[in-house]
Amino acid sequence: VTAQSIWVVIALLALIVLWQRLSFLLLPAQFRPRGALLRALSFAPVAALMAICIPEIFQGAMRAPDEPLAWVSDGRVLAAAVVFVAMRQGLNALWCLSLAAAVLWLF
Amino acid sequence: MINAGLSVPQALVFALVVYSGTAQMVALPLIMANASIGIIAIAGFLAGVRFLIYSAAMAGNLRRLPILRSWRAAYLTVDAAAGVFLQRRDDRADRFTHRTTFLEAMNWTMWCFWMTGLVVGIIGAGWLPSSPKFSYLGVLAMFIMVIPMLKSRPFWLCAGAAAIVALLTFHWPYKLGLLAAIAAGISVGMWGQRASGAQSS
Repeated sequence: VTAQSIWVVIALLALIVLWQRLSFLLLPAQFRPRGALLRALSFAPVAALMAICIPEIFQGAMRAPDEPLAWVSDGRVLAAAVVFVAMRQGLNALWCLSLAAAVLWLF
Repeated sequence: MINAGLSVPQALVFALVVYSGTAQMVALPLIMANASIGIIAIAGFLAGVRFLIYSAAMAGNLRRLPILRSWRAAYLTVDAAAGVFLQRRDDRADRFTHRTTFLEAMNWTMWCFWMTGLVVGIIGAGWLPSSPKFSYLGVLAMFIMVIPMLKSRPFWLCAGAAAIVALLTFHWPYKLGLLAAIAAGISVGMWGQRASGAQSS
């Protein structure tokens, strides 16, 4: 890859990211989401964040498919489990992250 | 970025103008693998398709702002900020005032931390300790944001479906699995909402 092509890649990706984020602002008002699309959009953040986080959490287990129970003692999974339980118990986010950091440090 | 072969100026410009972690994560291995520019562009587009969804969801709020401010707010909105904003807007419709100011405050805070981290990482690539545990805390910070969103059965179903499909499609190329997981999560969530509506009526 030449230095010039890296600059082209950077410019293209910048334009793509810009267009994706501004797309519905640039489109005319009649393209505003409504009805089923609007309902679908309420699920988008949960689906997107889960789709990003879960493979990262179970990364260790997925890299060792021969050991199906390896994830039980994986620090990443344990830290995520601690965060989940602590959040459900009403602990604030900063405390949850501190607990997770402690678990990661221990395992 | 430095390890992928970018020079310091290229890495700094990349960090500044391509404000998307997934686009960067998708592009860097492809640059290292000498992939064609077209493939890198397509992969970058697919990795960021969820931003079309965020854009559609937030357009109604952002259109009320002056044009440059609305564009800036849309451009700087990342996953975590979009998640928190949409959650608050839908849950506290009456009490959630100064919405766009709240969004912009989140955006600028995240942008400052993100850029500081990237610039420190680029400049200090040679001497900084590289522990994956540090970066994993960022993932957990995103995970923390999902948990309060699981407020009813359809949202649990949506999260479960997205999680299962994300795991099953993890090895798909160009992060296409991410899209499949989002689509599955949304579809199952809507099905759950319809089923609970049918049950209660």
